[in-house]
Amino acid sequence: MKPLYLAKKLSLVLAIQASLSSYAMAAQTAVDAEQNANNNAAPNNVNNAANTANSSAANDETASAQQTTQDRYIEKMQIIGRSQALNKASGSATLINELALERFKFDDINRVLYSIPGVNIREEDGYGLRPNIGFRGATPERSKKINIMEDGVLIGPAPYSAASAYYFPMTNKMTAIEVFKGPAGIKYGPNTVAGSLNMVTRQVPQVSEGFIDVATGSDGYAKAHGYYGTTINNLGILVEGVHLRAEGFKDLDGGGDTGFEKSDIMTKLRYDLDGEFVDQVFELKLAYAKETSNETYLGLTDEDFSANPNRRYVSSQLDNMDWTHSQFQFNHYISNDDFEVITRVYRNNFDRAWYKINGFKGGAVNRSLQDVLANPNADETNQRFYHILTGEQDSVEEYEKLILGNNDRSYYSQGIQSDLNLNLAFFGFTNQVEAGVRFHQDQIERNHTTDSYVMQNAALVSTGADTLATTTDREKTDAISVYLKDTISIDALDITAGVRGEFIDAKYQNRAAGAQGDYLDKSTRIWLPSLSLFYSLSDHGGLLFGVHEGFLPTSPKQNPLIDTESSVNYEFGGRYNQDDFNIEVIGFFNDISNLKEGCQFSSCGSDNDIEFNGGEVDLYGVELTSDYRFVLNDDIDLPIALSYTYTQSEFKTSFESGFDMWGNVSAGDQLPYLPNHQVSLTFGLTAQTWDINMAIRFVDEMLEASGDGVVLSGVTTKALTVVDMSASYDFDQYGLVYVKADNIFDNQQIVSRRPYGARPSKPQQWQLGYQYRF
Amino acid sequence: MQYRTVYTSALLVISALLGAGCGESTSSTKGPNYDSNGSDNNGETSSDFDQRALISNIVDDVITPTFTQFEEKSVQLHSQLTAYCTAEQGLAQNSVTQDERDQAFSQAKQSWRDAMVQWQRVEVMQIGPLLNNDNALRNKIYSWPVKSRCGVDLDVVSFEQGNINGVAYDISLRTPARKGMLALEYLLFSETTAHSCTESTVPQGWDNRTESSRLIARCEFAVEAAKDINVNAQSLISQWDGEQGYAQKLKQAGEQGSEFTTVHDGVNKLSDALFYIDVFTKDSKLATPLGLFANSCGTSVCPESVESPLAAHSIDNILSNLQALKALYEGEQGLGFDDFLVDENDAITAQNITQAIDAAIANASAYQVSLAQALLDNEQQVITTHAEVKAVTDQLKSDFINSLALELPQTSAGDND
Repeated sequence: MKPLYLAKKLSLVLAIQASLSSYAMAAQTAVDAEQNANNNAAPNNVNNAANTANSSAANDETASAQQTTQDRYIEKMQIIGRSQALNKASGSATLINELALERFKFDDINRVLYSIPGVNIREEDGYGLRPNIGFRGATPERSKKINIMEDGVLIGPAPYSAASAYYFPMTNKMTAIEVFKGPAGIKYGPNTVAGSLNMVTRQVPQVSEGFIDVATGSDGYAKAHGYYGTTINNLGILVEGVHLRAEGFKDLDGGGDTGFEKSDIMTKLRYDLDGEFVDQVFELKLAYAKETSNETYLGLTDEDFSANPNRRYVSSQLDNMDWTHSQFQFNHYISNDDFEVITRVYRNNFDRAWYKINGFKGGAVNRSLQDVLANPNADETNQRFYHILTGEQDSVEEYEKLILGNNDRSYYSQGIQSDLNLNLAFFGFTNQVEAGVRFHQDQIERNHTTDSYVMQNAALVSTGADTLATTTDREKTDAISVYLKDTISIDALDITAGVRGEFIDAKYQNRAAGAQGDYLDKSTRIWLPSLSLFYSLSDHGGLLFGVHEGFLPTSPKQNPLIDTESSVNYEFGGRYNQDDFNIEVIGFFNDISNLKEGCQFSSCGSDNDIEFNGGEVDLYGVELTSDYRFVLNDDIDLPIALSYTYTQSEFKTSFESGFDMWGNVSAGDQLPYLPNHQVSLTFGLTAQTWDINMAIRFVDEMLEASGDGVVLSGVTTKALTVVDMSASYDFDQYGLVYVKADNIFDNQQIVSRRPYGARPSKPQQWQLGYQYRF
Repeated sequence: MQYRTVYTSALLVISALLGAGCGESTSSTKGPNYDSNGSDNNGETSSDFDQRALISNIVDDVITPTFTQFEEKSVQLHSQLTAYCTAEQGLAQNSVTQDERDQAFSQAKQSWRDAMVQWQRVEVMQIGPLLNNDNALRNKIYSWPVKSRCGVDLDVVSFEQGNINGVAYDISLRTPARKGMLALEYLLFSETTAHSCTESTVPQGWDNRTESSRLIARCEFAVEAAKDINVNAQSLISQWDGEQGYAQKLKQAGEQGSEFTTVHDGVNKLSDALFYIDVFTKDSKLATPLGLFANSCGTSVCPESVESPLAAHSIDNILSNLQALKALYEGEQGLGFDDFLVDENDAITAQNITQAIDAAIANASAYQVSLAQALLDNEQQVITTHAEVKAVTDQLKSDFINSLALELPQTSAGDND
């Protein structure tokens, strides 16, 4: 199969996009005619608001029309619609809106997502700087098995070529977080095994609007966040900036900052063009972000963790992550009552360098840091290495030198995508057709080097040896994706059938001198079908069923002998919404024919990027979510929300694996880092001028490794219960004061022992903040 | 009804697509040097050399006899140490003369040297059970370069007392540097019976004991350590040569259910062992005392950093390593890597490596003094030895692996060197 040349691909994509638009226009005309004939008999979910706009005053009509376009555009930027009384979404879809995000004012996406069922998380640094998120049992490592999107566009540094999400957007600037699993995910690729996470940034306001939020807290925490936006005539602008910093909650032996600084600035320009037949929106988004964090992969021995979970060994004193991210996105939105097309052009650049301890130089004596910290007293070797890591003894022998690696990587991700929503009537039924096409390119260039140090008088001292290049390569992907979904309503039954196609051309090239012959060109083509049913039992409740094929591509460098991950995922459940009460229960079963995992520093402590086949695995569970708002009196409400997830997993075959999280697996073994039970309970009191909220979450114990024969075999993290609190008082025109505490009872546990040693959850952290809106 | 038929058909089509896996297809083009693990070749050789026969020969005619002979040496070592200890106790009870005791002591030391020569051959054949669990079995027999003389002193007393903090003493549970061949070198060849502990923990009552009492305590522990070495040597043979042993797995490489996907992968395991000569012999045993690598003297010449300073056996160890390398490379009288190279039309490399190994063996054989003494008296001689060994490893790292499409072990890969 010959790969298409870039120019041809672009032509193809543009042609398809043009076809989508012209087809939409033509189809709209046809629908208009049919609707006229049927006296507007067919309502639809997209244009409910438009159909009800019936003002007699011309100026009101204009304003209303503009507002409608705005609403629909905003909804389009989000994936989950908000206008339906009964959410008939095919598959599990959860929206956390701005109000909910404001309640706890979390900076950490992990804490936001804990309230969503079916989300499994492996915490790492406590601040959520580099989250590990999985859905329905998918490995959470660097969130590489889910699609992470911002405003509907893939936002991972190189989602096809290097799926690990070392860049993650700032949670503070998001106005909505959406999670969807099951067949709903077929619209969003390339990873369809688990689901997608879409984060929605603030929209350009229709009227002048500004906001300032400043906060200070324990461990040197500080936050400054603000935005201003307005629309004059049809032209709108928004500028938003966020700065976060903390000195860190860890105590570095010998002193030193273990915190971070993180900044993000975003601007949007928007132009609304309303016409006789169609309305259009043009929007340009530009953003720049940077982070410097003194973060490390080095944890503690269990014994040291018990003494002080926040200790950090001196051998991590030079560890530092430094990245910058720039973003360009242009959206064009065109719609009328029966169709909408949004086209997005995007480019993201991400440059990062993480300088951190990799391990001992080794040679005659070799031990991984994970082994040393898991068994510091196993023998003289581990004892000696442990004492060097902690600075209690100096390096003497060659193999006792410490290697610090600078994993310097440059990424880009760019593309153009169009999504069409169309309402058609044929066979006498209303059809909601969704179709899309995307041409996407991404690339990672690795320029990894290492330096040699000795531990001397409890400090790292350079040996003066030359910096060595370790990995110098490039992985690049060109991918065309298409999807088509149609939802037809037959009486109380909504049937959605869909299919996604991924056509991936991947290239790996070793860029080291003399290694031109080390390359791999690989093409993968796949069609992924989905089917979902929603049966409305009443105006308030219904049953859903879904099945879709899950897929996870391999990286360009991976040997073609390594299979892609594939699965057939089923879900069945019910949903009931009435007034202030919502409940949803969904059972899922993922029949994985080949589970695939790979090694990164964050998991294995090495970046050889080798991937492993795990064979057949069954993953199943139940997700429950429910919320209700009790009205206590005229002024005070008591909202309460519960989320529960039960997950079980099982390898179906026995095998010996070189993957550090698996080891020698016996059929029946469970997946690592997958808690059987997770519960999140949120409740509070809300009044006109004040509120107080509590969030309690429980995460069951988790296996650190599935099978035998690896360092962390048989080791688990302990179950963890954390309580977060927030409260605010609104002084009306003088602003709002809030106080919050994450982990109010200061309950810290080991969240994982990877890649090297035990790492703590975030301790108690207080914040006092002030918000002013204008 | 017609519509329902249409949708029923659609459902059936989608169900069929789901069941069929939807026609995923992958095609690829590999570069000539592509390898998923990052080495410079892809495991493909040009000749039809019988690699399975190579494995069988090296396993059956080189490695298995080497392991077996070490086990036999360990039996003799235990026997000689027992005899010596009996003599030491007899001397204290005046039932044995000083000469008889000295003779027994001398024989015990010689048996250690004999066992060490054989062990140094085993060292070059670290495959399978000797590598598992961070070299756990190998370290139990010989933990060098990790050593703990104070640990040995402490265990001498613990063994004598029969318990550690109330728990019965069990040498099999003790850490590697407190036992094995390294402990025996200290117990037999140390010039003094004073303990080596410099920090707060010292062997209880040691300083107040008589010389004779110390020697008896040490020899009794040495007997226990020798017994433990024998137990571990037997374990090595059992894990290597049993029905489910690693030797059998190697010989079945490439067969259905084998942990080695191809026969070539099995050959690669054998070739990995050759690189002991790079990491240990060249770097740790020569470059380190020469000060080319960091050592306990900093980065200067350091006689204290030789492998067996107390027994003055370091150059013998190196010689034994080189002889074992030759056996492993040439396959003794049968098929070896040299034959493989010749079959791959690289007779020049085959010959170059043989000549380089022979030159290094000749060089190491020519020492008239210990390695530590040579470092003091004739540093150039040691520098030459290092260069001779490096000539071997340079060939192994380049022409050898390229011609035979083998992968370098991680510890010898260029960037990590």
